Amino acid sequence: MRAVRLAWRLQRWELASLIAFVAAVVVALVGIGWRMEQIQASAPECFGDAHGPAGSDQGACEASFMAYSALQQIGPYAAVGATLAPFLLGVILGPPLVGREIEGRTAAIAWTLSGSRWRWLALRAGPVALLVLVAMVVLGLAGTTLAEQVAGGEPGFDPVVPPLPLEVARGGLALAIGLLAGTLIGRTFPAVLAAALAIVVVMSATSIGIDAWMKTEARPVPQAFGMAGASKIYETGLRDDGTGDVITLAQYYRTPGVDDAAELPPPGMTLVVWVIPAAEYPTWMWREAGMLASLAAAAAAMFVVATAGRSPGSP
Amino acid sequence: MRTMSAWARLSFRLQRLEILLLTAAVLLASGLMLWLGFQLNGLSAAYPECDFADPARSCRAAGETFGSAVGIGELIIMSTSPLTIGVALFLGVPLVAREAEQGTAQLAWTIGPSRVRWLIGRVAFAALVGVLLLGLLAVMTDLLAAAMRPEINTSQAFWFYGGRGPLLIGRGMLAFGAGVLIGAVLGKQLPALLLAALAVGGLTLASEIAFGSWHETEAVVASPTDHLSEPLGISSGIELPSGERVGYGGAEFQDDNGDLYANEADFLARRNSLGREYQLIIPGRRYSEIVARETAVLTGVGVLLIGGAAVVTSRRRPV
Repeated sequence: MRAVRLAWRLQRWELASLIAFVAAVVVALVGIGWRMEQIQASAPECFGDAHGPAGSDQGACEASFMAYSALQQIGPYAAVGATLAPFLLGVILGPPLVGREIEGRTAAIAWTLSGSRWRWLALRAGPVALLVLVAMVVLGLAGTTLAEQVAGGEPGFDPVVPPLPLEVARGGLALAIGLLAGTLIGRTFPAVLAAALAIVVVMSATSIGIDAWMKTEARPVPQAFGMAGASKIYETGLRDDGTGDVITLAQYYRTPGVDDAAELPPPGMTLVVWVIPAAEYPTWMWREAGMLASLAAAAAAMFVVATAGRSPGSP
Repeated sequence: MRTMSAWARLSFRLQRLEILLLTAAVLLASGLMLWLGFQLNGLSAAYPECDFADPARSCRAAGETFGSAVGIGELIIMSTSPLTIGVALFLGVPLVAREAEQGTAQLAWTIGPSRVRWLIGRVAFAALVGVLLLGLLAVMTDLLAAAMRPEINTSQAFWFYGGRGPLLIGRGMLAFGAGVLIGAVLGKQLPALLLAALAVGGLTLASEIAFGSWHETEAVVASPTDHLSEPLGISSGIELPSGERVGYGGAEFQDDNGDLYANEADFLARRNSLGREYQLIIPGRRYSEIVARETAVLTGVGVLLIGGAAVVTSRRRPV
């Protein structure tokens, strides 16, 4: 309890602003999702399936549709808050934890009075890490209803609200990078900037890496295959119906003697696309969360090592 | 000369890490934009016969490569706006806030002839660095945008309006002024950074609304060829036979002449036309003028905010 009180006192302004931000996002996510569910429940005949009415009177349903559609459009704006939250929490709460003590030259006395740096670290970082974890779990859960409503209950890539495991992994990574930046730089404000840049670079690199990995595992399937909306589609090509060989359209048009103006697909071939079906999204989401969590663990370990070996008095 | 050099050296030392990190980020983004611009220009030069917006089959492979590069370019240009605000806030917020937070303001303000002169010296260097970095981003975004749309003259088109070119400098200066002022008022760096980011969001929204109203007073009716130069769309709707302009409400069908009808029977019989569709725009040829004007207004507001910071600094307690 003493550790929580101390954490609050040392970062009161930042904690209060961020808690207010997270609370506002949670209220928006839950409120919009709940209202959408309520509209559907009040006029079930208008919402036969995810995409439209079940043979009901369009005119009578118009008011419900309009209200639902307005919320469907506002929802993603609220979801931006959930996407930004892990980044903001990590960048604002992480760097000052050790950085401020070193910058203010209070690290030496704080580390000595606590008996050991490990104990001090646990008491200072523990409550903040717990807060980030709780915030990410609450945000992940708050977005569930909205995500189901906006996506029509179908799983798929590019979800409106980040799913819970990704939210937690991103929050953990951002906090670990923030803590590491604060310890290495030893000055709060530049560390906040360094952490922000590092988080953007690491998360972008992870996203590019995952995409490259997915591209290698995409499979060619006939274009008529149900791949609406939320599947990941990479390239279009042609499959020889006789041999089963597959080539990309670019390769096909480079083949000598191909008639540019002829209709596709040419006789004896089927138009295919390289795709990862929407149903495989959970697998890939867990892979990405796992990668981010591993990076977070590595950054946290580097933070602990850096703090243990750091001189307390020199920013 | 020696005084200038000492001033620059001291100012740089006070924000060394921030300046180095921001410069690295801006150089990285600029390098990416330059590289992508070369790729796109190379493709355009290698396939002069191809229209990448609607590629013929023989152009499809090159068209796909061009299209995916344009997609990356759009992402990079969109990421430039947060980078612009970041540069401005990280340079502006700590100018007064750090001195107040660390208790060095009293000493700094006592040594100099006046607090306002001290602030001008600090602000001038940070603003110079900011303008240089934002200027680089402005040039690079314009170059990349031109490479992404080889079929139009992007210096006379509202394509990616607000996300490229000199307006980035204007927006940055507005954010810089807000950062300096809020830092001076709060005297704590991190809370000031958070509040300044929020304030910049509000100011940007307010400026969009104000400029939108200004544009409405200058809009002209679009000619049939205006859409080719990517004009700035202001509003559209139905022009009634009386000359009154109203929204699209009730219009369901439109014929080739632009006349609108409420139902299919009227449309098929070509009777009871509700009126004709109109579009109000600002033509693409006015792009440079509008951008220069808005950049000047945003920079002016930023300078006013810095003036406010000078007033706060001259009156606030140093700790």
